[in-house]
Amino acid sequence: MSSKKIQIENCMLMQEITKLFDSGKESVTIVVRGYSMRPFLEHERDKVVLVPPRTPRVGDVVLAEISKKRYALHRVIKIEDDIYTMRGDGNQLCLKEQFTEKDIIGVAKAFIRKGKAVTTDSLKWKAYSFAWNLLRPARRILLAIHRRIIKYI
Amino acid sequence: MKVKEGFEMQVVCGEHIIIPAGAENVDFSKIISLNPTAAYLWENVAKKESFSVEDMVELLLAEYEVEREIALEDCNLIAETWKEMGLVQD
Repeated sequence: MSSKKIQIENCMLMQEITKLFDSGKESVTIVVRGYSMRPFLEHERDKVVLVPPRTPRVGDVVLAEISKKRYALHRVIKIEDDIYTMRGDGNQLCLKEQFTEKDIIGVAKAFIRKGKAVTTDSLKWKAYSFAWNLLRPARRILLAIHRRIIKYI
Repeated sequence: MKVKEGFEMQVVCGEHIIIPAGAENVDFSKIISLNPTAAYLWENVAKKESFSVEDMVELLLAEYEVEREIALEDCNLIAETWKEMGLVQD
């Protein structure tokens, strides 16, 4: 038995996820790419379990098409009428993306972090979310420290 | 042997992959993909009540120009891999 890594182009993967949800799958797990959800999620180390699109609430982590064929898995920070604003936990405060409900590919139900499952309704996730939100003013400094020590932890 | 219940083959991103049937989670980080030959065999044996390596050899010979000996070797290998992966049972 051999195992290999296949990199799927983003827009193709999104279509497949949508197709799987349409065919009745309850959830789809994909590997996280990029660093914008640091410090919790790490590029290619962690995974996210997505469920089919539903109306998100502030604090939810959503995979959405933020502009044509550009996708992001970020946290919803604001909802105004039908415009949703989200931002990566690991992104600078000036960076944010907007989308509407039809742009949602999936909503995070759980994360597999360092091989361990953390559901979004767990105390661990809620405590982390609460703390990270409180620490927002210090985000820049904390992320800079995290960048320097991530290879040792 | 026979194919275990609860699997289905789908073409995702141009690859023949085996995923859990029904509503179960599809994990893109642990996907079983079949090459075209294995996919052809799978398609033809999946519906069968039971099948043997010899059945697989016949299927292979019907579709590909290959010597029986080599076909047997390949089918043994494929059958073994499927067993290892838990896709088929005796």
